[in-house]
Formats: sequence, C-alpha cells, structure tokens
Amino acid sequence: MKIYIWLFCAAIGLTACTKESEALKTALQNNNPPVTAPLPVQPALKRGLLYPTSGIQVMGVVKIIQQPSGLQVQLDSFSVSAGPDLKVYLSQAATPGNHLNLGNLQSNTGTQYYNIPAGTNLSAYSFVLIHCQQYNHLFSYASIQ
Amino acid sequence: MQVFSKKYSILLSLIVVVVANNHLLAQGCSDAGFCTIPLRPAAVSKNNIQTELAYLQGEENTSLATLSLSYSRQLSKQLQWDNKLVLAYVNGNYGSVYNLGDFYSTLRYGVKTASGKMVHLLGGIKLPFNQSNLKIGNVSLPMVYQTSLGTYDLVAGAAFGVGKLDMNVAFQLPVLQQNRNSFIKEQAPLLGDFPTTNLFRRKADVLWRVGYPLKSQTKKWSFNPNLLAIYHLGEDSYENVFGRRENINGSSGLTLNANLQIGYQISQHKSLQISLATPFVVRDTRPDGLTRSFVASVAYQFGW
Repeated sequence: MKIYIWLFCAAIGLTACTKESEALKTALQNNNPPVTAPLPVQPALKRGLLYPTSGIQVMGVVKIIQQPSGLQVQLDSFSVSAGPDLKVYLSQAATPGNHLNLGNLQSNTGTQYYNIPAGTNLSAYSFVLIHCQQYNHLFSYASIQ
Repeated sequence: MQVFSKKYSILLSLIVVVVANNHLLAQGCSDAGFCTIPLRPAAVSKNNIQTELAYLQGEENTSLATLSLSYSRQLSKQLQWDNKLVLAYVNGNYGSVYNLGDFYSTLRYGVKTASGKMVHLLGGIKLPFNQSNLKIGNVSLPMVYQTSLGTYDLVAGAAFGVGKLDMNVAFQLPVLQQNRNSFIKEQAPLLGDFPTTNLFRRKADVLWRVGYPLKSQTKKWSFNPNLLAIYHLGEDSYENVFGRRENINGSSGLTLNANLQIGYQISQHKSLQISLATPFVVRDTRPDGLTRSFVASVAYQFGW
C-alpha cells in the first residue's frame, strides 16, 4: 500500500508544469516580432503618468497612439511589481467596473503596445488601469488627458 | 468466464459498438469524479485504496490523462467515507499542462426500505485545487486545458435497484464560484472554436445513470453496461471585455453517454475495473471544457 501512496505523492510533487507548443511559440513570435530597428515615434493622442496603489511599485507613461493598424495603448519606460494575472484596462474611472479589457499585461517591464478594438469611443475612457483580475486587486492607474 | 444468455450478449454488443465509435462528439462531466464516484459500495473491505488511470479525448486536438487516488473507509455497517484526489495532464495545440485537479470527499449511507431493498444515499463536497486560470507562459488558456472547474460544489445522490436495473441519481451544485479563468477568444494567439470563458460561472448538473449489472457464474467477472444522462441546469456565463456578464447560448441541456464497466475480482480484497464511455447526445456548447469524445480508464482497487 505504501508504495502506491509514495508514487502518488511523487506525482503530486511534479505538479504545476506547463509547456508551450511550437504552434503557440510561432504565433506569439508573429504577434510580437523582435524589434530590429527603432519604431517611429507616434504623437500621443492622450497621455498620463502611472501611479501605484498601496504596496505596489510602478513607473512609466501611458500613451494612446494612432498606428496604421488602429489605436493602441503604449506603456512607455514601464515597470510594475509582479502579479499573477495582470490585465490592461481602458476605464471610465480610476477603479475597474466600466472598463474595456485589452488583455494580459505582456511584461512587467519595458515598452509594450495593446490594440484598442476598432469602433471604441475613446472619449468615454479617461483612465488606463493595471489590474490583477484573479485576486481583484488594482495595481496601478493613470489618468489620460 | 461464463457464457451469458443471448439477450445479454446482444445488449453488451450494442453498448460496445456505441462505445467504440470515436467519431461521436463530446460529453459533459467533471473529470474529477462526479460521473465516476461510485454511489454504491464497490468493495467489502473496511479500508480501500483505488488508483485509476484514465485517457480522455477532447475537442480541438486536446487529450487528457488523469491519475486519481481514492481512499474509502467503512465507518460502520451503514456508513462509508470516500475521498478522491485527481492529477491531470492536458495536451493540445497550445501545449501541455500538468496540475492537481479537484478533491472529492463524500459520505455514503445505506438504508433499508420498508420493502427490504437497500438505498444508498450520498452527500459530499468537491474542492478545487486551482482557480481554473492555469496559463502557459503569459497566455490564458481555454477551460479544456484547466485541470479544475474552480468551483466549490455540494454533491448529493442516491443509488437503488429497480428490478434488475441499477439506478443512480445525483446532483452537483456549485456553491462558491472561484473560477478566475481569463481566456478571451478575440485575444487568443491561436485560432480555434473555444468560447470566451473569462471569469466563467457554471450552473448545476443533475445526473441519472441506469445500468444493467451482470455477473459471471463464478462472480469473478462483472459487466455493467449503462446509460449516463447529465442535464446542465441553466446557461453558464462569462464576463465580456466590457466587464459585463453574458450568458453562453446553448450551454444548458442534456448530455447522454454510453458507458461500459468491466470488473474482475482478483481476490476477496483486490479488483480491477475497465471503463469505456462515449457521448451520443451533447449540449450545443460546452464552455466548461468537459468535451470528451472518448474516455477509457483502468482502475486497481485493494482493501484490508
């Protein structure tokens, strides 16, 4: 009997493994190609400074820019404390509720871009939020003007 | 093994043919055990341990392997305590995930009716070991890749005989929804038919299994061809990109599975069981990821 229990405990000890497929690796590379030349600087339609909530460290500037493919949120000179499930929201207020989820935070540091869906009424959104959805904890907010 | 009558052979053959048809689509059942928890005592020993290895085919090239460990203890003549823990390995187009699934703990109580027949009543809980938001790197994954539904459930059921038929009814009610899945179809890096399940909320299920148990004359072999009906009581929902909750059309309704269980009694305290199942009626949409086209498992049980 003991051997079954030990084998099962050993199996549990190996838990929480994940491995990406080649298809996923390729898709991610295509979506985020490595930067080989400086991107042309786009004038910001709106911009704002990121501020932390209690216990969080953050720095960076949020810009709304017009790219040929559409509007984007740009996080510039950005860094934030690590979190388990961080999202980028366009929001009508400094807290989540009336927001537009732009997706998972791509990285805790560095310049990054998030597509804003076509047809979005940008004037309705005055804030960009970095929000941990899994634990419903706001990490950072920026008022964009 | 003893030869069964012609009637039984025809019935078994029909079930095997249905089970062997891998092209049929998907079932809807919690891998961790709602469908596989025995509502009727399966062993005679005071303490029993069961290990079970299962292989499940899902949609969109996903496949699952689960390893479960169950411990049951006869607390009294009428009362039995069952526990089950599941490990799951999921593989598909996104990659692979290996993690703990759900944990079940149930009490089973046998009562004799006025007519002298035994009825086994079951009540228990299902606890999740994660919040159904396992990711590969930074990529949110559809529910089919999640090893747990992320809900704390109450489970209640009963097993009884009607003539030669074995009836099981059960109810699974999510009471605390801790699902924090963050898969959004429009933001997914790979194309596919997985629906958005961001902050997924799941409705209850009712299960009804009717079996026709058979035993060889030596009692060594047992066969239980059965039909398993699961009705999902309402439409599941998710939170869209605007933070608003939306129902998922077609996520409620009936799933009907054919299942064949074959048991072999090695000795008084040791047994083997093989189970094969496939669905033939399914819900229009199964956002919970419980989308199996074929399930096969082998279990070894010993007691003392």
